Amino acid sequence: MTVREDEAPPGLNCRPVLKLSAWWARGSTLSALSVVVFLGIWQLVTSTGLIEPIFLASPLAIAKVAYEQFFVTGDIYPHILVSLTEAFIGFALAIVFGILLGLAMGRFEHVRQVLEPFVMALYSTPSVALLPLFILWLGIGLWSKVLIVFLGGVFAILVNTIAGVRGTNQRLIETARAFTASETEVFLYIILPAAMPFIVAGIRLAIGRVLISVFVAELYASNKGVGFLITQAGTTYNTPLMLMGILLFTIAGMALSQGLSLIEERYLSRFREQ
Amino acid sequence: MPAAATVENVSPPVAPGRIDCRDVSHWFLKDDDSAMQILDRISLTIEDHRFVSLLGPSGCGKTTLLRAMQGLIVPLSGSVMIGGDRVTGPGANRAMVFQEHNLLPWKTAIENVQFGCKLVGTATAESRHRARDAMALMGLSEFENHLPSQLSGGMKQRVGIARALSIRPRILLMDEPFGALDAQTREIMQNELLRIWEADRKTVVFVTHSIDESILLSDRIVVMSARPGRVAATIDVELPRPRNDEMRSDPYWAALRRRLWQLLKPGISKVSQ
Repeated sequence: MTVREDEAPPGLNCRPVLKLSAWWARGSTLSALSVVVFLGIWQLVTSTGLIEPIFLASPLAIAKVAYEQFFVTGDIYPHILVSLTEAFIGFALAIVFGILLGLAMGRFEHVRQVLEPFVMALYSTPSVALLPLFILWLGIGLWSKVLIVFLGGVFAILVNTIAGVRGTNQRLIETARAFTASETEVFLYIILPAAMPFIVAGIRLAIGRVLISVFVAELYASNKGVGFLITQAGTTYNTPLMLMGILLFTIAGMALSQGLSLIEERYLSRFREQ
Repeated sequence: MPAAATVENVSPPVAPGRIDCRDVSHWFLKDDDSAMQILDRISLTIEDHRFVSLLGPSGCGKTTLLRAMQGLIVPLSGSVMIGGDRVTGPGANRAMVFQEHNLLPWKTAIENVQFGCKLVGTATAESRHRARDAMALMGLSEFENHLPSQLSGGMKQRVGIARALSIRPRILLMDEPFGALDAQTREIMQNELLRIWEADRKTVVFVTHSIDESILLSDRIVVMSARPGRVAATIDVELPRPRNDEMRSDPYWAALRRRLWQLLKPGISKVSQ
């Protein structure tokens, strides 16, 4: 069927034109611009005294505090080190145990049935509610916080891994079996790759929970850490320092999330369900 | 292509590509824990180098019978023998092509083909060589490094067939391999299959519910009745080889078609009730 040009409805016969959009309308430029404008307004309302500096510090004040903390006194480093240690050990344990336990629970029905009540119970309990108990067991040092961070992150990974393993396309498993694959081969070559996107999604979910756990754990009982710093700055009305601490959490979260995206793009894009 | 597999024969000697089903019956467990009979005392012999179709309405157990031949299930009663040996599990002397292509979405076309070889224990270099050969045979050389998501339905099915061929099986088990394809692609694939089969005449068991497809391809058609599946009739197709599409206008074709339809009809009306 052909349509004569004069018969075509208006709007359909105009040729699509490939054109680069204007420099200011490109995605990244617009995002950067919006941040700059936001910071400008923020600076304006705080420096003109529209908002009391005790309620909201100006961006410049925060930058000044950050400069002092990082490059003059260096007071911030012990706090960062403590928080990073808690987050790193807790998150690493959550990833390792979340994946291993999730694979086992997803693969073996009996393992799942035995562990499910406990997983569901712990998943439903707000893990920070257990902090007093953990402090009783482990003291107010590193390990009670690691445990909280671990519990905060592990379930997102665990539950996602189970879903990934159980959601593996049965026809792919059967195909491998038809080609004489052993149970181990089915697991390594079919189930594990098929569960990969779910595992990564679980780790992504866990990032936020890990950061919350670090903060809350330090809020409750500690004398070091970025969370502790924020709390202390709050109680002493040091708003710039407090906001700088919050920004550190924001940056950590964004960096982890972006890092994961990079790894995903680079190595895992194939495994995404088509 | 000479067949690589050799089987120690017991007397009397049985050809390695011969399939014997003896009183094969099978049941599935329904949701309410009652048993539903799928296959009812199926006995049939498929001679070496023959192209045999299992023709029947949906739900007549033809796929179950094929899976029993592959060894994916062991029938609850009776036995399936291949080359004189009882089938107790999947084996490398036979390969399966599925209705859905069942390719791993994260592997490229050639990696999928190689994966089949790897599972049956072929060395890496040899499997790469075999995968290349099978891809070339299926006319897919240009698409070796495409992911399944980048291939059309017909091409995915070609990769599925290449994967089966690359392990160099004695027997090819095909479960409605063209059932999910559009009509044109289907005809092209049928002719491709004829061409490949003519080259070395492996034993092929081909499950289909298309009468014309079974006539075009087969030496023999096993008509199955529905639920529980029984062998309703075994009919030899006496059309010369090589076959081609022109034969569709042959009066013999029309007569055979009518006869097969008569045999299928009771089963189909039974299922649809």
